[in-house]
Amino acid sequence: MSLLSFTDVNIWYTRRGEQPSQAVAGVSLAVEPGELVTIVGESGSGKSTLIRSAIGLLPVNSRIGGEIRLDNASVAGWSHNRFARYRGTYVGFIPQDPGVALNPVKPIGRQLEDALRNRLRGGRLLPFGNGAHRQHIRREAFRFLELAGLPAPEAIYAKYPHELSGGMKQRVLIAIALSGEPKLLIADEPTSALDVTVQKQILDHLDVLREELGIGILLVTHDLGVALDRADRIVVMRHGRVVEEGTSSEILHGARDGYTRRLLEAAPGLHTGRLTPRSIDLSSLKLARVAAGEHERGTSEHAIEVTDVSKTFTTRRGGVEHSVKAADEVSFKVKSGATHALVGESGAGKSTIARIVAGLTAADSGEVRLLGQAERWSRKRLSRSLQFVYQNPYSSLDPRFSVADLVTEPIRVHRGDIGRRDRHEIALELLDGVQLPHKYAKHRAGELSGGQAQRVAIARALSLNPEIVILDEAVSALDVSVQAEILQLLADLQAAYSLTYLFITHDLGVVKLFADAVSVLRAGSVVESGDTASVLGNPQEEYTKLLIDSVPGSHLTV
Amino acid sequence: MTIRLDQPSAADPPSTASGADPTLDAATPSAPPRRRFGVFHPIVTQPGLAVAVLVVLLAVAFCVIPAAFTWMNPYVPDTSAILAGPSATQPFGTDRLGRDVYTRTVYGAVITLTATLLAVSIAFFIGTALGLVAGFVRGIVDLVLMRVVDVLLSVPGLLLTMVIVSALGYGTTNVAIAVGISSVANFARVMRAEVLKVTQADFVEAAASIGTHRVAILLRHVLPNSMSSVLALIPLQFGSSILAIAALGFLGFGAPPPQPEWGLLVAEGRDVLAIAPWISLFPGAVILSVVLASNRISRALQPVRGL
Repeated sequence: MSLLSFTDVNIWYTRRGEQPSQAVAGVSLAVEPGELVTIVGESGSGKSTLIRSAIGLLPVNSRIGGEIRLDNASVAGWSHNRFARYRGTYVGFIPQDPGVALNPVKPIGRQLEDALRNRLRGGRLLPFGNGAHRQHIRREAFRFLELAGLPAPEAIYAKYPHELSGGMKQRVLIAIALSGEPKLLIADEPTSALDVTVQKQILDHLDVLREELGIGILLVTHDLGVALDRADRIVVMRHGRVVEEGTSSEILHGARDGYTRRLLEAAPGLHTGRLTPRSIDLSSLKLARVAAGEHERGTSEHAIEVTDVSKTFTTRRGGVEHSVKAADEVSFKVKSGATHALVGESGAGKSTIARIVAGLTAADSGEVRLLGQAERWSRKRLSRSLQFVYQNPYSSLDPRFSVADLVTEPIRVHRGDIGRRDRHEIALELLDGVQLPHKYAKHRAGELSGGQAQRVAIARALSLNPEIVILDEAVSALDVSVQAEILQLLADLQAAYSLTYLFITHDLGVVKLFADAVSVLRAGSVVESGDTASVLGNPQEEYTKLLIDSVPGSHLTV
Repeated sequence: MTIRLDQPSAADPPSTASGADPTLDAATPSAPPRRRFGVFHPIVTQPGLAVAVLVVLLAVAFCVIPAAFTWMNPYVPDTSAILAGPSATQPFGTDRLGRDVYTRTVYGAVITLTATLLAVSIAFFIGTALGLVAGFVRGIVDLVLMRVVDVLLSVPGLLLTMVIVSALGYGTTNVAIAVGISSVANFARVMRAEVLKVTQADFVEAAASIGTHRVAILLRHVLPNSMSSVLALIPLQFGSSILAIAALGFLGFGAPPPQPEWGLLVAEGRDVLAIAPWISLFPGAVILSVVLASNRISRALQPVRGL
């Protein structure tokens, strides 16, 4: 008997005055006790909608067709109260974002006890507790915090969510999900917001729980690496449909569906070897070249030389100064025309260093030498040679500008003599360069998909024909298949424009695919630096080894 | 290795909200279809808003072409019909000089709404400029401007306008200026908050990093992106300005008596409220409905915040 089964489930969202849109179409799926089933899919594939339907968490404007069976009873038409009896005690739910899923004004222990009280209330005569009962609940709370892998539960118990790190908050959410002693855990991207090392710990822990308690787990993820590493069965979803279902090895070696193969191909962690650039014909970019002006391109050996750069951020809270060393005597050199990756977990100071190189933040001490030039450049001169691409294209592109205006804005600022019509021509050329159809020239950034918007940001960065482009987590927010396309595009452009990339990322898989050299950062200082192949293939430092080991899917080969 | 780009955006999530691809709807049973209303759709789904827009349009029409809505003269007394109740020919009745209250209300719109427009324009332009400068320049300028705004906010609005009118002298224009100045603070506050938010955005930094001049950043990036909340404030301020101007007219600070200003119309019926309530009630109801309508429009204009 399966814990949870979907049979031919269809889900629509209705909106006033619009055609209902179908989010899930004809999905059948079952989770058995002790089994880990993962649903893999990119954004918009309906995976979250599907699992939320099983516990009655869909918004009121949804319509469900087909049969969903929970504990062998069909949930169709269940009231909130009826669902409430199953939530927690039969199904535990781990939400996606640990940052917003906990009540910020309540201590952790109290939130966990709320969940516990729900289960332990059963069979009691009085609606309130007594001392012994409270003691019992508190002991249980400690037990579940420990079970979720949090050391020293007594200390955590009294803390507020903002005092904990993301990984600890995620563990608290797991503790709450486990507190009802459920037979089934549903986890919606439980580790997507976390660093790889923390992700590995949490996934390891879920594995242990599954073995010890024999619960079934339904895990939703966008990361095929995670799924291949952990799951008994993998369900690949796209546009609301199941396109493929099978065990890890079946998916890995015998994927039948084209989309699954594309996903496998795109998953950076599964690859060895670097992306090879394909040649792009740049002759069509004549106008843009002319507009950018024939400024002298640097010919020095190293495009970027960073020497002993330090930066400390100081914040004052309640009269007490807190200082964080974001960069501590960081040094590295980037060869002209090469890609240098800065890798590290959150808080390692990679973005700070990138911003110092780009001149967006001033360093406390140390020197940054660009293209062999020692003198400080003005903003205008600097932007000729160096451009910055942000992580989130939607926030780095003005939402009120059209795509054509966005990509030519640097030219407008630098060359006042180029008219509106010429700029439009240049914009179309630049869009050609990043392989974005001309029809998008009139759209606004908000109307584009993430991948398209990031293409616009890249086109804009290239409009002035710079030597150096800094990519600050430029592909991290994208779906894997889109990410792979953008990386390939960047590799192509690098060869065509002879660009130097400073590539900031937390994803070692991407580094392997894309970078010539890499510096591993931790807490503001460089742990290890060198050739990508030698650093990743033969790491010298413990921390680098740990990072490499944590990349999901890294031990698998296609 | 290379990654094929021959099917470039096939895996891009669809950019439209309707999500699922069209073939999918055709192949599977679709949810029950809904009735549609074509161009009348917004009216059917939001009838309150439609009525509000209609009321405001009517009031504006009163203001622009009053003669099209009545053939009577708002100033000429008619001794044959003093304090006559509402009837088919005189829907709002007549006042104690026999003038048609409906006609006076229509012509009153010219005075009241023009004054309101002036007041809101003053508040909007001065307030937005102050907020923009304070939010963008920051530092000591911000500190000084915002303390001035705090002072304006700390005095009750009507009291402040009465003080300003007393200083400037009576009259509709002066009332409008006074009401405008007293609501500068609202616009300045909202604008500053929006500007602070927008200047944090990456695209402002991106514009600065390519060497854009500060003024150009302000006008091209910050101003357009911070206007939406301020624009939603305009109809709201419009409603409260009508109220403030009518209140001052009622108290006798505004237009002198023969003029049919709305507040004055209500005041004229004050003494005879027991025997001829229509003189005060109908202009009052008109004021009420225009204010309500503009508030409703303001709510519809508010930028939709994310979840």
